[in-house]
Amino acid sequence: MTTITPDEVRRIAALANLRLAESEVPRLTAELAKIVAYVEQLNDAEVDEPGREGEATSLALFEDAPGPSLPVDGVAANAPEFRDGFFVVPPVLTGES
Amino acid sequence: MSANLERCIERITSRNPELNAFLTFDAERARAESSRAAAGALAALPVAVKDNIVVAGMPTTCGSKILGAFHSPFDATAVSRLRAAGAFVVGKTNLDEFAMGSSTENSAFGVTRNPWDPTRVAGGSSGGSAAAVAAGMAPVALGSETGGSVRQPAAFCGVLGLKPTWGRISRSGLVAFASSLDQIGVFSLTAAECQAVFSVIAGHDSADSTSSDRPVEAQPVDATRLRFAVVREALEGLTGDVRENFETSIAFLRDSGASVAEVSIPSVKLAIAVYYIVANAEASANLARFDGVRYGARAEASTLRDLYNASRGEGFGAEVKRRIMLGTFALSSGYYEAYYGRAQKVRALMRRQFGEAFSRFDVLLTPTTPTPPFRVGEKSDDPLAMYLSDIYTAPANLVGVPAIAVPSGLTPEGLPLSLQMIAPHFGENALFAAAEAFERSPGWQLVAERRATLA
Repeated sequence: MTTITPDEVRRIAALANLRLAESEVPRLTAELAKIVAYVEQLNDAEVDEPGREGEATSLALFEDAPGPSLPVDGVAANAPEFRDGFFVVPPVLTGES
Repeated sequence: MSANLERCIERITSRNPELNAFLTFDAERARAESSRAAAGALAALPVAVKDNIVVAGMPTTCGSKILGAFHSPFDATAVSRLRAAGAFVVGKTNLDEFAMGSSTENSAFGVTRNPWDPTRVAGGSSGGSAAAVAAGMAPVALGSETGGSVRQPAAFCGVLGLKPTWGRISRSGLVAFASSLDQIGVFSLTAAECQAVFSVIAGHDSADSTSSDRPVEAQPVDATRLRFAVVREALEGLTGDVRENFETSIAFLRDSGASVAEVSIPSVKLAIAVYYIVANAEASANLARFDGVRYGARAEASTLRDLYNASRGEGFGAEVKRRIMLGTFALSSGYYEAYYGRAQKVRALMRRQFGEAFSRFDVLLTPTTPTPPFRVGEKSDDPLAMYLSDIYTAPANLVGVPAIAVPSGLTPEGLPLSLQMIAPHFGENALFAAAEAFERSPGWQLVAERRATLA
């Protein structure tokens, strides 16, 4: 039985790149704990299936030839910041690289 | 046909302020689109489109703040096929944020109210599309299905809702939630209109490598020769108006000469548990693209990682965050086999048991929902109670088979009830035939008559 703790919730949020307010943590801990407890009933199911469900049965390939793609101005119009064909973002790291 | 559009515009203008079915609608634009509409199989048909399906030049919000004022530069394949057949998009409809929900209460733009009783929900996640068709705002609408998001709101709004076989309709231009489950679905008032739209939009698309290249062939099926079976587990513990109406529907089928037996599919009882691991795991991957970089709302941040964390923290609503976190948890190191791995095995078991049922029967029957439409706010404090709304619909998504929800009666309070029919993979023709036969039932007729009078 997995226990969902507030620290676990903070760890999962970091993995998911979701900034949570501290005030959200208790509610989320309780909600996730309840849902995880519910899904644990799967442990009681008798399954010996190989479990490769959802795998594509054939791989669709196409010619590696140039074709039309999205118009740059349509893409740029939606971008928060766009310059010279690039999306502009803050640096990966602060301070020295 | 233009009289048809004017009636739709009148209905949208008068009822949308209360119902909030449409997020994007402009009467002048609709008239311009209509006059541009070509001839074809669906000439001048106004179609409402769920706001997680992209339409070039119109906003696509996915019911979320995180997409900001995003306007897609391209049409979803289903939309371009509709346009090529002469139809046009009359507007974009409300949904639970990123299609995550069963009531449209999770929309960042307010709930969609049920045209039958505005104190109640229209269902979800495609609540806007269902309400639009029920309220006479559009004769047909597109929605999307991952766990029941077309069939359940169709049930709540007293209209027909189809979930096709997974891979039957291209997902190109449908904003992804759970890729092994997602499909575009169709709302309509009759089986014939549903089939007409389906046959235009279904079929292989090179832009969706999971779309099937099996040809789409409309073939008449003799509904009186179909072997029906009730899924026994669907009746366990079922009482009240839903049970009574379900039994009335079965009696109608038997009285019409159909054979209706019973079949056991024990693994359906685990469907919600499987669904809420698999769907959320896939969603955690699919929603990673909403990061404030290329489109949508961007938060203030001084590093790239802060940009991701802040944009997503601010832009996503509570249900979306909850599901992303559940999915991230289920896929994380140390838990992957126990949760995601296990869920996939149970899913394989479900597929095998459905296959065994379909070796003996052609159409399986259940109610579409365990309850009539509930009140706004009634389930929104308990995520798990909300998830259990999908108990009859989620199995078809997990196994990939097609299913249709058809209006089957009203409660004594006048709320819609619905019958679900499930067919084997690529068995849509049997569903259209069975649904059309069911149009003669007193239950369907009652819903159709009363729906025409909805203020």
